[in-house]
Amino acid sequence: MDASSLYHACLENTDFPPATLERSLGEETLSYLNRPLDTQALRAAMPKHPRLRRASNVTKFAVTAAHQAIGVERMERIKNGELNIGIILTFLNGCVNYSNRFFSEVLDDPTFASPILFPETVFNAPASHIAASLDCDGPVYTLIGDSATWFSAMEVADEWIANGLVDGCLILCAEEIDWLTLEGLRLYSRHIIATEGAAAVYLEATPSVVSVANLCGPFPYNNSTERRAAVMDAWATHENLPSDILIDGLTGIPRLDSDELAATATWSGERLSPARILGEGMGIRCGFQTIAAIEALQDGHDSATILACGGNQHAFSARLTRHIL
Amino acid sequence: MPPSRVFITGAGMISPMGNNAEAHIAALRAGSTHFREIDFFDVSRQRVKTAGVADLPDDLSGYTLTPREAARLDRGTRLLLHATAQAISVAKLTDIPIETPFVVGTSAGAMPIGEEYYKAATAVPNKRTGQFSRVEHYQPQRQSGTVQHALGFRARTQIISNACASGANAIGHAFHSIRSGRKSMAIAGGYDALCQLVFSGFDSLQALAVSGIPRPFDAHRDGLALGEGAAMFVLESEESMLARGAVPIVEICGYGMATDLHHLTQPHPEGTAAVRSMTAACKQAGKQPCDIQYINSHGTGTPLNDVAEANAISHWAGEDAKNIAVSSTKSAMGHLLGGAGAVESAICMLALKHQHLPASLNIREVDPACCFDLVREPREASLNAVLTNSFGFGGSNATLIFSNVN
Repeated sequence: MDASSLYHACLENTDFPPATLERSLGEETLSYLNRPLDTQALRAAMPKHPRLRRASNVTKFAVTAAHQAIGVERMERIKNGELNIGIILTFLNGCVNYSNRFFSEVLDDPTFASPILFPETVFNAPASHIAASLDCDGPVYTLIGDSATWFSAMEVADEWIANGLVDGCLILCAEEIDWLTLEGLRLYSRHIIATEGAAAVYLEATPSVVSVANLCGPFPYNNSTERRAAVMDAWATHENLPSDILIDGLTGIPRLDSDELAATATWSGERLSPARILGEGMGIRCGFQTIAAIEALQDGHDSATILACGGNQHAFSARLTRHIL
Repeated sequence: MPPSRVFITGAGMISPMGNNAEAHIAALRAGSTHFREIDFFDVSRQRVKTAGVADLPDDLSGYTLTPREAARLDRGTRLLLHATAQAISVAKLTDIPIETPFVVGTSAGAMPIGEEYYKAATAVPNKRTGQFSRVEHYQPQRQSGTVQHALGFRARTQIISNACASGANAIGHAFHSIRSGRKSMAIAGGYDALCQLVFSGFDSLQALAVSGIPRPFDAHRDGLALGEGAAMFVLESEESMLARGAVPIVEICGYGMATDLHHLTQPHPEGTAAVRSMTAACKQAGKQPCDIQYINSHGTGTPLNDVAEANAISHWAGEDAKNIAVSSTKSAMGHLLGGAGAVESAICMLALKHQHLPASLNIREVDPACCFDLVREPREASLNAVLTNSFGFGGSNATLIFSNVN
C-alpha cells in the first residue's frame, strides 16, 4: 500500500480483513489476528541491493519506504556527492523476527546458532542497509522509543539541518509482525490487531508544498497519570484550528484511546484515524499518521494536525501546512 | 552567535574496573585486567565463558523505588541508574528541568528481560504470569523512565541505538544540542549489560578471544572480550555552569560521525569512515592531529578492526601519528557495546584530570600496522586534548574530543 492508498483507505473507512498467525505450543495451537504486508507486492516494490538478500523483513520494509521517499533524482545527487543527507530510523520493536529465531537457536544449542542471523538482530542493522543502498555515508541514527519517537527523530533532523550537518534528512519508522510481538500486544488488549510496514519522509529546509509548521513536544511521562497530563498538554499547547484535519492515533479500543479521546473531546473538525483502519503499528503509528496528513494536504486540505500520544514515553503534536510554490 | 562552549560538570561510571571514578583511575594506574566467568546465564556450551563483569551495588535504598520496583530492575537499568545517580551527585544538580535531554546510548537495552519473556512464552504449559511486566520493562525507554523515577526527575528521553558507537553518539548528540544553543544542559551517556543473546551472537561470529583475554593491537590478536558497564555525564553550556556555580571537569570540544558502507559487520580495511569521523571532530574542535596527545581507540582486539583503525590513524595524522599515544582500554575490561563509548569517554576524562595514560594490556608482539606510540604500560603524561573513537556494527563511526578546562 502506498501513501495515497493509505489516505484513501482512512477516508473511506476501508475494511481490511485480518489474517491469522498461528503457532504451536505443546498440544495447543495459539492464533493471533494481524494485518501482514503483501509479500508479493513488497517484492515488486523493493529495490535490488546485495545487502538485502538476507536482510530481515523490517529492513526490506524500511529500504522500500526509504527509496520511495528519496526518489530517483535525489538518489542520483547523493551518489554524485551533490546532496549530503542524514538518516534517522525509529523503532519500538525492531528486528524481532530474527531475534526470535536466533535466540531459539541459542537455547537449542549455541554451537549451531547462526552467525548470519545475529548481525541482523542488531537495532541499527536496517539503518545500515538503508545507508548502503542509498550510498549515504553521513550521519545515521537509530532511535528507540515508543511510537511518538518518530517526532523525536524530526527534532533531531531539524537540528542536523539547522547546524549545517546535512542538506536534508530521511526519517523512517518500520516494524514487522512476529508471534512474539502479537502475544505481547495481546497483553495490552485482546482486541488489538497488529500491522506492519514502514513509513518515510524526507525533510529539508528549502520551500516545499508541505511543511512542518509546528512541532510541539516532547511532553515526557513515566506512568499513566503523567501520560494523561502529557497528552492534554500536547494537545493544548498546539494551535488547534477547526479548519484543520486532525490525524489522530485512535485505535478504536476505548481503554487504549481514553487519554486521546479526553484531550480531543471538544474537537469538531474532520478527523482520520489510520490505526483504526490498518491496526496497531507500534513504532510506525505516527509515521502512518504523518503520511496520511501529507496526503490530506495533497488532497486539498490547507493544514493538518497530528496528535501523537506515544505508549510509555512521550507525547507530541504537530501541524503540517500546504503551500503554493 | 558563536557556538557555546560545553563542559562536563558531573560524571558517573561503573564497569568491570569498579563502581566510581576513584576505582577506575586506580585500576588504570595498576594496569589490571578484569575478566571472570559468567555465572548469571548459561555459558556451559559456549566456546568462551568469561567476560568483564561489573559488580552491581546491592544497596538500592537511596532511590525512590518500592521494593517491588527495585526487585524487578534488570542489570542494564541498574548500571544506568548507578552511573546517572553518580553524575547528578558530582554535578550537584538538585533540580533537573523537564526540558533537559536525557540522551542515552544502548545496543541491547533490557535484553535479559526479553530473554525471560521468550523463555516464559515458549514454556509448556504457557505461562502468562509476569509477561505484561516483561513486555513493558523490556523496552529501553522504560529503563530510562525507571531511572528518572528512581532519582526523582522527569526529562526528555532520547535513546540512540547505533550498536557499539551508541554511547559516544549519545554524548556527541547532547554536546551538539548545547553547542548550538538549543539546550543549556543535558544528561547523556551509555550503558549495556551482558546478556545471553548478545554473548552467543558474538560467539557465533567467532569474534570472541578464545582465551578470554583480548589483545588489541597485538600482531596475533584473536578477538574481543565482552563486558558491561555504564557512564553518564552532566553536560552544560558555559552560561549554565557559571550560573549554577558548577565546577567543570573537562571540556567537550568536538564530535564527528560517519557511516562505513563497506559491510554490515566489517570495517573498510583502510578505516575511511574513521578518518572522516576523526577529521570532522577535529575540525569542530579547531584542532589538528598534532594537538591530540592521546587516543582512546576503539581497539576491540579483532583482526579486522584494529588494523583498520591503525590505518585510519596513520592516514588521519600522517607524520604526527608517531607522537600520539594510543591505547585500548578494552584490553582491561572488555567491549561494553553501547556502554563502550561512554565509559571510554570517562576514561579520557580521567586521563586529562590525572595526566595519566592508560595502557593497552596483554600485548606480546605489536602489530606492524601501529604507526603510533602504543601505550603498553600505564604512565604519566602531559595531556591537553584527547580523542576517543567508537565504531559499531552497521558502520556507525563516532569520535569525541575532550580537552582540559582553560
